[in-house]
Amino acid sequence: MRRAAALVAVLLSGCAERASKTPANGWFTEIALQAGIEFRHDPGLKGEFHMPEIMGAGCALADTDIDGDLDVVLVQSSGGPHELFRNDLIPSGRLHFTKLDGALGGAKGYGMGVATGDFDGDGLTDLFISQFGNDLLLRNAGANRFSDATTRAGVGDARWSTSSVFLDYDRDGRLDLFVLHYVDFTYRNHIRCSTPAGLPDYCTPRAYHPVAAALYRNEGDGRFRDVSASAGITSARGPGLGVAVIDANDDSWPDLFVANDSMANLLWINNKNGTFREEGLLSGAALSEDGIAKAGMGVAAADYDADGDEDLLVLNLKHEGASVFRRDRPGQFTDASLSAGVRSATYPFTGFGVGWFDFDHDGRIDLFVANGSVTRDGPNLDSFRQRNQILQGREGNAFADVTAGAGAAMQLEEVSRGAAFGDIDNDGDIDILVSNNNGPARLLRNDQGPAGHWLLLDIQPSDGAVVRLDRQGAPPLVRRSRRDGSYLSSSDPRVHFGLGAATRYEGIIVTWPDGHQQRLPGGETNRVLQIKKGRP
Amino acid sequence: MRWVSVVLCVGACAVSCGRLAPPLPTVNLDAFGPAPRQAIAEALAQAQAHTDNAAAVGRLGMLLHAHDQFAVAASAYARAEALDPRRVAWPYYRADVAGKLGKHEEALAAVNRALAIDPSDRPSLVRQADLLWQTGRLEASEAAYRKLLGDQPRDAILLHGLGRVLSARGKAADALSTLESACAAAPEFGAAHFTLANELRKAGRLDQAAHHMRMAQFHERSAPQVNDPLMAEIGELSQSAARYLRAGARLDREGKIEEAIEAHRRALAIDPDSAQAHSNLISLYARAGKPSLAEGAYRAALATGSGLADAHYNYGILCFQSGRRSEAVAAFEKALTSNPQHSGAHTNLGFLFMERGDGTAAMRHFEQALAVDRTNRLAHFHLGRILANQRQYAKAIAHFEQTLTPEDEATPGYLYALGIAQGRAGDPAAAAVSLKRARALAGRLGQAPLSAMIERDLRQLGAQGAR
Repeated sequence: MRRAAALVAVLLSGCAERASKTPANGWFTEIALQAGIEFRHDPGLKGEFHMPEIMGAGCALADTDIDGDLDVVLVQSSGGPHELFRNDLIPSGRLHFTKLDGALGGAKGYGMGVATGDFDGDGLTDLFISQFGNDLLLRNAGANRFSDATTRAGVGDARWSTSSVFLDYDRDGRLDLFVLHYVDFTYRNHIRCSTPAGLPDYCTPRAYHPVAAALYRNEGDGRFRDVSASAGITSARGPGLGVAVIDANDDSWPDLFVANDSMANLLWINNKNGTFREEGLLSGAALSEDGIAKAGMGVAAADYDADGDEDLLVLNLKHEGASVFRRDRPGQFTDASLSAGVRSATYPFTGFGVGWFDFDHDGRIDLFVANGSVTRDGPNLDSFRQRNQILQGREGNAFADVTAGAGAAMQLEEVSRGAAFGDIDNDGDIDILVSNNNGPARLLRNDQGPAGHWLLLDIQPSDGAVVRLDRQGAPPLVRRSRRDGSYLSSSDPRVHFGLGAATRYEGIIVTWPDGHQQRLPGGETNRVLQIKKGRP
Repeated sequence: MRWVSVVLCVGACAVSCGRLAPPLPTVNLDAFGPAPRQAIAEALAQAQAHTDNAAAVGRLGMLLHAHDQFAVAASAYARAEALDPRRVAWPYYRADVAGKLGKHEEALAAVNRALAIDPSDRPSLVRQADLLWQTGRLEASEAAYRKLLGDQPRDAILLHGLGRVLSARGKAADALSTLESACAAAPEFGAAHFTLANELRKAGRLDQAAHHMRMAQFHERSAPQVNDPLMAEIGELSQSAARYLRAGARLDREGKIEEAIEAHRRALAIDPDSAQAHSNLISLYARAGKPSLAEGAYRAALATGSGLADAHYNYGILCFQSGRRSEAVAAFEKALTSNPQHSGAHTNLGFLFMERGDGTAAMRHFEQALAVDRTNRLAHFHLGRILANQRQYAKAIAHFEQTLTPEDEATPGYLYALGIAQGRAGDPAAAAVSLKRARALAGRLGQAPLSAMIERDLRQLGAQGAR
């Protein structure tokens, strides 16, 4: 009922002559404090340069109380509680967040990331918090109350977990869980490292041993079974930081792309029998164009070149540049970082959170990058600060750095890590939640104002559905409903299309995770459209 | 008259260049550790005392450059170049730091200035060809590489550069042959193998692509030595322990143990508390036949209180090599106390328990090693041996099969074990295939004793077949 009310409340926005015109005050405005999100991440700095301190923590945008607006989850490190902020947009009509003390059951620990998904199929979004220490599974009991379901589920691994994702890898209708692990660092085996200039600094992952990821199969009774070994996931390992579910080979089964920090990225191809095989190297998405393993952090997957398949983007260390792996044919990628203009633009930065989405509604995918160094450039810890970036998609599948004109919010220099993407004010454009290491959370409201037309699809069940939107006089757009990608973070699974000057679309085809397709007729743009599986 | 005017012009430039040159950069000495700080402070003092002396200002830039302070180095070089516009080094170094800062257009402009001073400067020409590619000027890059290859047709770096450009230009056949030449010229050039693998992949030649991908991964950061005296000077200026540690690791991989030890000593001269240096030295001294020095390195590593797992692990190997089995066990157990996920420590403990006849403990450690690292070939191998001895041939064979990639000097032995297990499992055909592969590979690698053993077993297998 409340969701229906939300849909009625959808506003129509005006249209602009040119979608990509920069607003006078820039694209984004930082509103976290003003909107009630007062949260400061604390990495528990001890002065010893313990590795987890520099990794930051993630954040999530998800409608945890199913009232039609996106709530905020922020992960804390250093033992403080992880926090949930309720969005009061509905029913108040005003964008404001209220911190719900204790809503997550007091869940704490040295938090790293958060994945969202309805693992028990009750229609409510649950949370998985990955940690440096025992992971947590928090079951949503309704009305924004969560209970600790870790022990029963058997997913409280004590290894250093990073990004994670819920996915139905065996297509049995239940969400399974894939959790990346980083390295075997513990406080006992801490190693002292230094910068090239001789100052004490955080180590690279090469100082430790990488740890294999874990795959948990959902048994359907609140329990998960660790199938990592039998599914083949432990046959290759790396210091995993970013993960995205894609269909790399067009067989409609979910594959997994993993960005590793200073080791070859991995591409786990689903064998459709409960097992995976690793094909990163042969896919062309494992290494840079010079055959070097870069320091992979955040990941994005989207069809940036509008050819109907999903490409990959991996953020790396400064002086490496981000990698764009353009999919050329099933299972085959080519490093297109240079021609896309992404490598040069990102070269001076160390990137973590990342999203490929159409922020200016011109029909082309743009790019947001959350930056922050991991190595010291100077005597103070301030030297880790970097500004974030907005790269605008241009003709010819290239990107241009438009950060300078994107507003004061984009000029902030912080140590950004997680980033989650979603329409927090239900105005049809995509806003950004950023989590900073040892700093405040930021909420970047997209203030493009009257711009191009748009369509937002609220798909249920959401995870993994692929949507093709047909347009008149233009190639179709393909998008996947995804919460995954970025770094340690989880995004709004609603599917967003920027449509430029088009006031109508011609039709929609939804391919559900089980391979079934559902067709819907064309209609008007500038609205939220709810699509339920099997319903016209 | 003409001489007088030239002299007047030069004199005017000497006065005005210093005035027009960008200012000396501000250097924050707190950004450096003790060793580099002293060197940079001295260079800074010199540059401040002689602000119009290009050599003094440039040397400050070089020291900053050597310690990864690229932005400040660029400012120093800019002033040095303005003060002395006839010296190749300053624009050349500016090109390098601009490239490292991702400013490839700026880097190209700088290298073009270097070439305006000396059109025949080869490092500048090679860098120019690369920067033309980096900045998307593919046609010009191809022409530049072809011109350079005219003088040195077997230069692997140039062949790789050209192959990369040809690939980007869609000239697949040319790219393939050029990259094959690059790999032939430098078989351990990882980047060339990788680019070739990608071209083969695009051409649908997946088996060959997979081979070159493996080679690329195996030789990931290996590239032919480049004759670049200016950059070598920068390398020599680094006062970074990390630099010497990296060099030491590379020398170790190349089998240059004494040189690797020296690099680690230099690292310790800069940072006496480098746990990694001490820990690596345990292993290096042991392999150099200097056990007492290795013992000393172990004690020093423990004193740092950092990176203890690897220190105990390396000491365990030292003890094992000198026949002190009990101490080795204790050291590996300490490594596991520091890091329970140390796959190598589990493997070695498994081996030591296997030696003692404690198959149960050995299996437990091998399984734990594999739980952490499924690609641990030694753990697969030894576990396979135990299982084969327990007549659990199917399981043993499964483990032996996991040892076969990557293909290297250990592979013939692993194939031999697989063949024997297959024979004992009652599959002589599979055994013969494995043993023949093992024989061929052992022969190719010059492993004569192993070849002889395989030959003997193949004959026995044939005789059994005949019976």
